[in-house]
Amino acid sequence: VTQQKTHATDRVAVISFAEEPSNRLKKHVHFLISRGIHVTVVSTTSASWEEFQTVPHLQVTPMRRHEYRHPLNRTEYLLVDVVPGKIMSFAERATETRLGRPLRNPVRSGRRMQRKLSRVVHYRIYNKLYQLVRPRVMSKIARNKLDGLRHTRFHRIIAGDTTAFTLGWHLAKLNPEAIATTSLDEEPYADLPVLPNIPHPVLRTDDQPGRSVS
Amino acid sequence: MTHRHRRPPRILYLAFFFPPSRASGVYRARATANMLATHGWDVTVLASPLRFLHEVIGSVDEGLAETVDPRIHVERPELNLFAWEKDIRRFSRFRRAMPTLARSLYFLGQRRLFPEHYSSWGFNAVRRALKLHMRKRFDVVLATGNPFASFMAAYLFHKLTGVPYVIDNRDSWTLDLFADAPAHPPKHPVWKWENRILRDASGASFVNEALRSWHAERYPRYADKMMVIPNGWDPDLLSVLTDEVPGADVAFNRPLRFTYLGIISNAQPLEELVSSWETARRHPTLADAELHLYGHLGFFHHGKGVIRDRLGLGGTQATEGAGDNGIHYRGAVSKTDVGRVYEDSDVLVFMAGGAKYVTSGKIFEYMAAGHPIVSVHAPGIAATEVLDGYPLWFNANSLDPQEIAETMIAAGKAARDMTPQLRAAARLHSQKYSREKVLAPLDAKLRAVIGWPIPVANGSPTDSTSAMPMGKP
Repeated sequence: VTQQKTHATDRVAVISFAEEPSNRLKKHVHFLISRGIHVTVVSTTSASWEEFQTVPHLQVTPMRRHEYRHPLNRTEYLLVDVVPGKIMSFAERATETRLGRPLRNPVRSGRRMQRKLSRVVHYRIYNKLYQLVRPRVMSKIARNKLDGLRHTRFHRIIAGDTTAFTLGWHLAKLNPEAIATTSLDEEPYADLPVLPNIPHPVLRTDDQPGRSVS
Repeated sequence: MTHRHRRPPRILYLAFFFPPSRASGVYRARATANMLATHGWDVTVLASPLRFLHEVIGSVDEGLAETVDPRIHVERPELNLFAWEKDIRRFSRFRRAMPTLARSLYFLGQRRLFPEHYSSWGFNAVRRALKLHMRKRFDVVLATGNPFASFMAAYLFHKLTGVPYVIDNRDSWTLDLFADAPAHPPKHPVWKWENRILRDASGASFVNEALRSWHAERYPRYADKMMVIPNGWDPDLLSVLTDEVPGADVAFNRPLRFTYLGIISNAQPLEELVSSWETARRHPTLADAELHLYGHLGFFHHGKGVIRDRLGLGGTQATEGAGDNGIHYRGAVSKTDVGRVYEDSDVLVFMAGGAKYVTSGKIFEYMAAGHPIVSVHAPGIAATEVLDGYPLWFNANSLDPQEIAETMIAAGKAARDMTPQLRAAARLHSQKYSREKVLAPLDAKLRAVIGWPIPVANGSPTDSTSAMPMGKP
């Protein structure tokens, strides 16, 4: 375990790509900012960290917009949703003519089938496969789109969930002196004075305590 | 005596926690291996990798490693640290690139192969054992749990080679000792594993009668294989203890010194201890008395803060005093130095968590020290069976701080009135729990399994099957 001297001027990167960060992670971020540590949160959305928006030394970097625009997701959207939808719309318009009127009912049920099939492909097949490559996708987006991440010197890099490991490792390569960990260890900063007026974290009610293996 | 009896019987001992580990169950493993070596066994131990002890759980007592019999051969199969590794730089290339898939595959292995994070150690232990067995045949396998991957390894080794095995339930696998309820849901794969391991085992030992009975009721077909091998105290580690009394020759006017020695964990009644101590200390007998706490805070090097808060210690220093209530945290003591701590104490505080299935290995040492013992635990725990009859036992039989405080005062008075004769009588009670005595039935059992005679100092060897005590010793 790498030992490192800690200061109030330390900068910590916290990465969490879960839809909702765990309560443990939110409490830890609260612990860090209440000790004056500069924290950069790389997250899916900034909504999960709204309560801390007035804290000047906390920076939240949302990734959702970039993720939607990633070629993989755009291609899937195009192939699974847009193109079949356009084809069915074209067919529907064709049934509005006198010649196509007899096909109206079959085309309508075909439209319903297409929507259902698109949903099945997206949720049951694509999403499951996408979860496997999502860590790489998010890591690549963060490295390409977020210049600030590349040029900030971090003292500690915390991967808050499994999807965050890949970006955590890349940041660790960029910051060879930093501790790169999944641990939410408070001990290095426990002796720093506590700042007043730091908002309390808003916690989830459905969180499962004690999840340890990432 | 047959031809094979001219060589020593060869045993494979699967003990994940083995010195230099300082885990709570390691003393039983150390004593068992030493006893077997002393009794003429050729002992090979498969234990945890050192990296796990040093870097993951951070619980090592190098002094203890020196007390292992040099005739014992120790090997350390690898363990997959997936569940414990926190340093992202140390993750495998696959886990770094595809962490979600790596996680799914890991848990698939847990569900399909063996439901424990230590399972990789168990499989590696089987592989290592097969190599060793091909070079020189093992006669029997003894496996101690936790972790229970050692039971799985013994079972697989038996299936592959036919070598019989005995399991030593140092801890409970399927019973939650603190909740007094099954530790897993009914469909959990652990039940299948326990059933097949008990079915094929030649023997199964438990640390107390309550645990043996619970398992015997659950598996009546295998009840006749089950026996009790209680914990005990190790005379070689407590050689400094004497029958002398601090105030025997001069007036005993100094403040009393109470001591707790052992792991301090969240499962223990810490608030009750602090509250009763502060109440008791107002009594003149305990004026200026001190309570010294020795031992690690928790089983792992993280999570100490909560325990500190519950004890009212505050701060992060390794050892410190808490201020005006006389409670001092003194940090961990090497097992080889605990005798000195007991010798310097006037009263010992026996604090334990859990309910009727909990014995605690510490209580045997406490009795061997021959000082007054104050109980701070729930009524009816298994440890009271062994304390019963100890002449200097002060038990409130309750966790009410006021009642515990009264027993602390009574114990303090007993410490001031102590005589060498009384201490000798107290120590005599502990003699039946010396390791040598409590482990003798295990040696007999192992010899009976392989049909090996028990060596005797004079005369011919005795038939081990007739000497084998079963059930409660």
